[in-house]
Amino acid sequence: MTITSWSFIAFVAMAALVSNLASGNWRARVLFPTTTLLFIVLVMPSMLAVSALLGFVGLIWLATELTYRLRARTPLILILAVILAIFGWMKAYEFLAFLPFASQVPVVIGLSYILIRALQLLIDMAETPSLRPGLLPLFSFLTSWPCLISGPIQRFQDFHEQLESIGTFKLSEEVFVAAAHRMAKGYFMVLVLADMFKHLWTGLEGIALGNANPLALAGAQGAFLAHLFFDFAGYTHIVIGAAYVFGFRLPENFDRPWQSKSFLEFWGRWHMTMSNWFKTYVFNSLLMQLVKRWPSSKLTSFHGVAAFFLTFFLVGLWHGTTWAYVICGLLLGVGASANQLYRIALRSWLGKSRMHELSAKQTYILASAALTFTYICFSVSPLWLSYEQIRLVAKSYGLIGLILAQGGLFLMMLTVLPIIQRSSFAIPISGATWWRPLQIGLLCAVIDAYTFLFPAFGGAFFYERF
Amino acid sequence: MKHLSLALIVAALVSLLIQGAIVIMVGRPAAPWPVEVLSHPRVSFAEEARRAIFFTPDLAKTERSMIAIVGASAAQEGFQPAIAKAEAPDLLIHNLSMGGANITETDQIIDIAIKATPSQIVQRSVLVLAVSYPMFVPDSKRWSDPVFVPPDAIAEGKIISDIQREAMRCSSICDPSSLLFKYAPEWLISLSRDRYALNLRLVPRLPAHITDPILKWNLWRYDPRRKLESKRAKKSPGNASPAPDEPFLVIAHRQMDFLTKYMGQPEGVLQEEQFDKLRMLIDKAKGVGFHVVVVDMPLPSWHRQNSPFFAPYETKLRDVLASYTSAGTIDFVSLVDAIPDDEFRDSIHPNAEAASHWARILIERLRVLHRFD
Repeated sequence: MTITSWSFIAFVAMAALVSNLASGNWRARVLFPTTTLLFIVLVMPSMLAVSALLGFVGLIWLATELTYRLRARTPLILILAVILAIFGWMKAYEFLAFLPFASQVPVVIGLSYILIRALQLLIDMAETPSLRPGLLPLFSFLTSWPCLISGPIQRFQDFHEQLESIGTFKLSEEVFVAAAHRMAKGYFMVLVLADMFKHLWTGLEGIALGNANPLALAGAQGAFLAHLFFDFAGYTHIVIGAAYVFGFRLPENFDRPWQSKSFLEFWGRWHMTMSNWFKTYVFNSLLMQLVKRWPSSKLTSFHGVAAFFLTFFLVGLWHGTTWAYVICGLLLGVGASANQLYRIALRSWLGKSRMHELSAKQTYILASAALTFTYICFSVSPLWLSYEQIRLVAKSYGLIGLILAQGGLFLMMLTVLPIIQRSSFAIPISGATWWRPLQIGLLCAVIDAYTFLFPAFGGAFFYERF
Repeated sequence: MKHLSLALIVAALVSLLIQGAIVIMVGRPAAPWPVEVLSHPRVSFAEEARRAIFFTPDLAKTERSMIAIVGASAAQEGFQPAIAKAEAPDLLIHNLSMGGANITETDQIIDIAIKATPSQIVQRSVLVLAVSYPMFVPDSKRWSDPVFVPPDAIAEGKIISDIQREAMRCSSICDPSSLLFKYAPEWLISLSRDRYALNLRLVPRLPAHITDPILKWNLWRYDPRRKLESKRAKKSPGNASPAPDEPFLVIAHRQMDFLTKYMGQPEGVLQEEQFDKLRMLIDKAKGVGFHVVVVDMPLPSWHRQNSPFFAPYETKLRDVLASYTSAGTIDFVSLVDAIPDDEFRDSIHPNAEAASHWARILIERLRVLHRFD
């Protein structure tokens, strides 16, 4: 079962019906975990993968019990290290290929997201032991079906609060329409817009890799980012909408990322739940450690640079298992730390007031945004180019070819971004009560016509592989 | 319920508007293709798959026993219903063959035919399985061959036949391998297909994908580095004379070599996969009541002698069919050497003049084996 299939819609409809007919107490304790287990069986590629996932959940439960009983820093670090090692083994990271049975571990969908939720819970439990979950609530949290495949990432505290409250939830027409609206919007993004850009990206990729054409490479980079956005934002709309009918309010993952003016702002608007997680549990901890280790006030700004580099390096590494993702992590790390260094340099060179003055200028904003998106397209290229292809591109394009490709991409961004930024304000997000049903009807009709005229595989979501 | 009704009404209205726009663009729908001539004229694999999916349901209207021929392009061209009808006006012949079909895809076409045809008609009808060795190409090769399969399918790494690909147009209910197809009643499948009758006329006029025109822009092939390089010496216009027409046999041999490569296996080695599928297909067709006749399709003598796959294919085919023929549950007709070499236009297909001879031979053999109503 995939999220874009009719079977998923049937699954949501039936689960919502049963959940809303059942009495309050049953919903959180029996129905939600049962629905989640059924979803796991339906989406996992094999029963071996289901067993591996359940085994990993069991391991996390054991870790929460140990964390609760031992309540000390050193055991927690050891527990986290063991979990990370087992995660690395199960994800079959290329650099852990020497581990026994590394090539035989089944692919488990959503493992990276389960890890992130587990780490959040364990780290927070060290400070608040009362968070200690039972096995069933832990299972529901880690594998919660609307968030299993690709998030959004919820904190245990928020999830638990919502799970407790679904017993009193009543499905009204208003909620149903809101859910249908989010889902229709999501399906339109995935089945129409993401598909269009996917075709463009793969077509241009073929031209770019075959003949070393800089403009084709630039086009492929831009089309890939657009595909990634519509694919992931569409998926998020679908699962947020599906969760509505069960009484869940999942956190938002996107806040108009195309409005970003800098690399760091972009990551505050894109995959926000992941960014916030890394900010809270990696960046802040790193910064604190650096300040403790080198407390000089002159170094404070540069602590941020180092923390940004490491955090974004880990963001890249978290996304995939091959050496290409190591390169992606390095590029993201360089982007984030360069952005921070630029801020520091500009502030010391121009002063605070002149810097603000400059930042308000339209041409400066547009140039920064175009540069930001050009670099983002460049740094996420390892998500779609394998390590061998990266080497091939470097060899066949040479430095001049790559500079021309990125220059072409920058010019494309300069042209396209103002149009996107302005037009996004023209579409009302909410409004009259008839607007949502109108949009649902319109989107469904367009999706139906498009998928007939241009059938696509509607395969796995890009983020599913993470 | 007010808002949901509004959403449904808007969806219906917008769909009607889209349909209206299609009518304005391409005119009102013509009558669907008669089932008898589904395979003709040959256009493209995708177009043939569309016909098989969207027009085969007309088999539901069949009121008398029939001969349904399934196979690949040789059967399409060799047993043309119009010619066969002239040879045997008393018989109802449907040719459901599809160019490039392997046994897997043939099986899918048979599924569509079985679903559509009333069971009492199936039980009085003959299913002619017209096979030849290229139909035993494994799925992994046939459906990931860049010569025939669109790049997006190869990029996805999925094994998906032309039938399955075109079936995606109607929400998988038309896909013979989907659960929905297996369990949904025929009227529901038929209704789903009919919804798209208008849109279907637009498909051949559209690019395969909406963004294909963008991919054709010269911009993507423009390389600014060329400006930086020194001007290359202009090549003098070529004055080479056009290549002389190649003798027929040279072209035909080349096509045979192409088929050898097309099989994608070590020369002379044929995998079991498609033979197993043939076995299952025969069991299924017999199970629903078809009288099954397997026809070994004609090949020119030089092709039979030179192809590394022909001899192993013959051995394996006879092994698979042995248990059925010895028990008398199916019939086997070998036409492999029944056609003189000069009736082939290439290494496998009949020439235009020979088509009626091919059809006549098949009908004669079928009349010997089966008494038609």
